Amino acid sequence: MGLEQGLGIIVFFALGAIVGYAAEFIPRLLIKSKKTAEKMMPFESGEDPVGTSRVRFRIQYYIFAVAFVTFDVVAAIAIPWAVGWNLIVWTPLLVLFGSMLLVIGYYAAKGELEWL
Amino acid sequence: MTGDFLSLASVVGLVSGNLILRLIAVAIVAFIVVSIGSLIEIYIERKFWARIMSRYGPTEVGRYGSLQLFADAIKFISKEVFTPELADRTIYDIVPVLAVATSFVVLVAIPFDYAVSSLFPSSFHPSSFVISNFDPSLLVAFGFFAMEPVLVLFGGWAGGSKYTLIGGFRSAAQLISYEIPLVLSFLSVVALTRSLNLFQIIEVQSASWPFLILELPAFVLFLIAMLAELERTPFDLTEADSELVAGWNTEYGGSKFLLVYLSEYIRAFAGSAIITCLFLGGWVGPAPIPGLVWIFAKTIVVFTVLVWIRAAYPRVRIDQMLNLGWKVLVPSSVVWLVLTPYVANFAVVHHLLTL
Amino acid sequence: MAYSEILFMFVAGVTIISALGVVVSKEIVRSAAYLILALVGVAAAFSLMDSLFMAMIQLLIYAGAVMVLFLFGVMLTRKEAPAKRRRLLSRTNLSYLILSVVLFFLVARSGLMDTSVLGGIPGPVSAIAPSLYTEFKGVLYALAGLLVTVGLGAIYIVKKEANEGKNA
Repeated sequence: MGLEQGLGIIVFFALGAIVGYAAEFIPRLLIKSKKTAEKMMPFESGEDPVGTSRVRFRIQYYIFAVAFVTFDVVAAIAIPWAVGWNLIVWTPLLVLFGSMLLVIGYYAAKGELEWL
Repeated sequence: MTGDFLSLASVVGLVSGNLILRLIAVAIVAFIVVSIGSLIEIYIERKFWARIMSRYGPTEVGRYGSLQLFADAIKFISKEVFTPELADRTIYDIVPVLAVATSFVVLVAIPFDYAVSSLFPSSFHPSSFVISNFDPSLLVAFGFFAMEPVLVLFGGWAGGSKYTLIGGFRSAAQLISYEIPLVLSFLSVVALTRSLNLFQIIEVQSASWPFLILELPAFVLFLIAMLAELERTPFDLTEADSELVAGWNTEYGGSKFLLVYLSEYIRAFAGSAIITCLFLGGWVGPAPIPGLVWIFAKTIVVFTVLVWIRAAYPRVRIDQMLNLGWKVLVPSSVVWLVLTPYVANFAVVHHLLTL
Repeated sequence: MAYSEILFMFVAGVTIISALGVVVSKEIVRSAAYLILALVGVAAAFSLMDSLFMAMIQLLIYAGAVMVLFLFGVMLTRKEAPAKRRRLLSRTNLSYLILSVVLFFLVARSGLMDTSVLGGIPGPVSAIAPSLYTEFKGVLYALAGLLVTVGLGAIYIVKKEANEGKNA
């Protein structure tokens, strides 16, 4: 049962990729590209670029990624619960949700979820 | 006459007999549906939005500007293709293609194939033609939906410009902030039907009240989260023209930009179709009009509402958006998810829901 | 079914090659790109083993979420100058080796015996719920503890890194 849908996903992906590659590479065959220095430089509103383009900025954004991963795990564990909530004890899920809300509350109180 | 009929039947028989041929046929059907859908979407986006703002939108090319889209597409494709000097070539080239392919895969889970095949007489469409009727079809849709932040980060990094990198981070932060409420609010529909199969969810709805009513809070939460996932106003910070040029896809030009644009509209179409299936009953509708028309029209109506929201509301600031996502949507979707089993019991007792 | 086995071999090959690419590649974001290929390969292998549910969880959690975490980490903390090459026989590499040997035996052991519904029998998703929520209740409680620890620990790391950034 899973195999058929797995193949279906592969076929859909392949069709999308073929269309995408056709749109990207057919123009490349037909149209001559003339490279100029202005065209090849990164766009910075018409100014010449300053410094490296792989800039480092605030590490604080890392918090969002950490929160996302941990809560995504909780959401994934909630999926079997949503399918079979009538068959099981709810306590582990409630504990997980509770700790998730606790972490969010802590972040909110400390002001860590601010984007500056 | 009879000969033609028979040969058509034998073609259908051949296609539904061979697994790979059948999958390719379904994929092509989905591609046609999503192409027509995206064209209608872009036209609505231009014309309807313009009318709300007392503008005309495109008028010159074709009647009522209907051929403007094709003119745009030809222009995009006929532009020269180049890679900026600082870009990481391989990743830069592959991200738009992957964006289109992953957004297209989402459609494998949406029962358009059932709606299309039910147009034909039942001798023609053995139910074996349908592939979207499988167990975790909703998860397949969201698994591929969830690939977007990674692609956005790679695309923004590979462009080799400060604008694209910062735009990529903002985009990814937005997408990941709204994915948790998105998953938790669709899970409350799952908890109502106890099924991860979109097909089955629609079938339950055909015998019950539409989940728009039974699951109104989940619908509101899902709609807001979906708006943010599709990066549409009021959450189009990633494309805030006046601040960030075009966000993570600034360095993409010509046909690559066309692909990025196309993937956004495929995602918008798939998102509207998922809302339709989860809350508005999918293909269910009064009899003489076929199911395909119902599911397609509902999807377009949902998309039109999204455009309407875009026209009516100003853009939020990024800190407001993140606050809304983490401090309002996540807790309320958790609370509603835990309450849903009680709602389900209540609905079953009062015959609002037949499982 | 012969062609599904061929497909499985192909997927496994791609996964292994991209796992090598993660280690060999010099550019760290390229390594991340290979890593995502490897993770998607594992998801494809799950789906070929008739467990679409596990495949999608793999996609949602690893390829979707953990990769975002890695990319945020890599892109926000990348150093300009490449660090000097680590010697092959260092204490860190030794601990990696020991860890991977332990992991290998754990995986091999779980392959020998039938653990639970989660351990491989493809079944409906509803069959997973009783197994996960009763048999593995303890794991879930441990996970809740881990979640709180990680959530609070992240703040500490970010604070430390931000201070170092200021001093540098």
